[in-house]
Amino acid sequence: MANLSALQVISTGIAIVFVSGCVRLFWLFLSISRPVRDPRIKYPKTGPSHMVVVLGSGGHTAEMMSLLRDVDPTKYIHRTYIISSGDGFSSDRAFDIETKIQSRHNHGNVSSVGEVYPATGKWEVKIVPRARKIHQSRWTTALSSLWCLISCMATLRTSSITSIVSPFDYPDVIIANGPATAVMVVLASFLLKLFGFAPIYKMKTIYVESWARVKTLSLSGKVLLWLRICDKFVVQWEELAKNINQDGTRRKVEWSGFLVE
Amino acid sequence: MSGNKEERAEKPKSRKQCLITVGATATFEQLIRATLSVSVVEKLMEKGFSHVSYQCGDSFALFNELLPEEREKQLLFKVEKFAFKPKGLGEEIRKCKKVDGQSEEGLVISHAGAGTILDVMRMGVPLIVVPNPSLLDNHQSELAEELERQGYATQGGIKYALLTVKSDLADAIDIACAMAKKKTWGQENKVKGVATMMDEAVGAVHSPREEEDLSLRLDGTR
Repeated sequence: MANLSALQVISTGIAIVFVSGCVRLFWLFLSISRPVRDPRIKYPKTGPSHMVVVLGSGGHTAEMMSLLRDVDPTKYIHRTYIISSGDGFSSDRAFDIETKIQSRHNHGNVSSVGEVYPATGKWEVKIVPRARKIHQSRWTTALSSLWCLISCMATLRTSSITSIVSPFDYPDVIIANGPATAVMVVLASFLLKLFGFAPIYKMKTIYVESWARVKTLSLSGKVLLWLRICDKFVVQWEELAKNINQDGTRRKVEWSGFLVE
Repeated sequence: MSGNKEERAEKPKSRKQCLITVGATATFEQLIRATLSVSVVEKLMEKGFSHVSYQCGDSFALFNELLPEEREKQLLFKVEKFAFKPKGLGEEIRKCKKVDGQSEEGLVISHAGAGTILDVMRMGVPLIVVPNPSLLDNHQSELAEELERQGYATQGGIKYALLTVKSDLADAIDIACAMAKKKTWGQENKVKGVATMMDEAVGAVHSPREEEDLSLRLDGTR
């Protein structure tokens, strides 16, 4: 035992980490789009939840507003909006979405960012750096994407710390629709689960492809479908769903009509 | 175009408004050129529009160049022009809506941006969607095609809009105004909304997938 070389110790360590990483990855992929439950909570869940919304530029944000029209702020008492830097306009849109969501519960009093209301809880806006600026070269794009990914992970972490559902609990669900930041946030949540920072029953991701996409997916949609890391991937046109699912032996995307109003 | 004014339809007593919008993100010069072409302007006057507003975006200068004030005075409709509306086009679209005793059914000629299209369809105003051919990833024309196929809107082209006879945009105006009963948006989309999907994801309600699993499990034990 005494003559164990350093090399042996290190290689065994690497092997253990690698194997457990693979097991975790396998388990994580199995859990995707399957109901995996928080064992501490009885189902159906009646307690409050924490949701994350990824906002992008004008068109996507307007659509998101329509998608979220029926969200009940008394159930989703903590709502985090993630926007990318430079989309200054989107933070106003987050307020518009909140106005709509809260309208039935707050008698016209919309809470401002960070305020905690007894009925409608709290909402907040988090800013992450852009993955790619216009006219940026390929090499710097790789770096800035990585930086964006790391900030997304940090953002999900900080929003979990300040969660009013239960401090240090990660968000329950993430909603995204088309912007490039969506890929980064979904990937960040996946990595947090892979590395064991977050349990796999947290941060269930729902991706809704833009209503404007009739026959083909957007770039964000293509990347996310290829990575297969979304728990729910929804498109809004039947033709698009048929194009992707083909023979229908394995349902890759879901379609049940228009989700926008 | 100032020629035979007498032959045209009489000016309607109530308001009949047309809104032409190029959008806020991409430049769409061709749509401004097309809608100011002789054939389209004549068609709008023939249909009896009393007010036409133009959202010109970046092409505001071009608009003034193509329609100088002395020419504007010769038109049978009132022209309103602006680059952008900071509060959105909602108010402008509402003016095109039919209100009994106040205004007749109007028309919106729009670029193929999803936001504007949805706004117009929600209000039930006749709509012509003109895809921008200079956008590289042209999923816009797919949307316009599908909306026309399903009867929600009319697809407008600008390829031959500048021709005096057989202008495709002028023809689209004919079709859009003749569509007696448009398909109203929102009747068929009573589906499971995103809020329900979220409830399923967090486990607040049972998802269909889960029920499938459960029945499989039950079958297995039998």
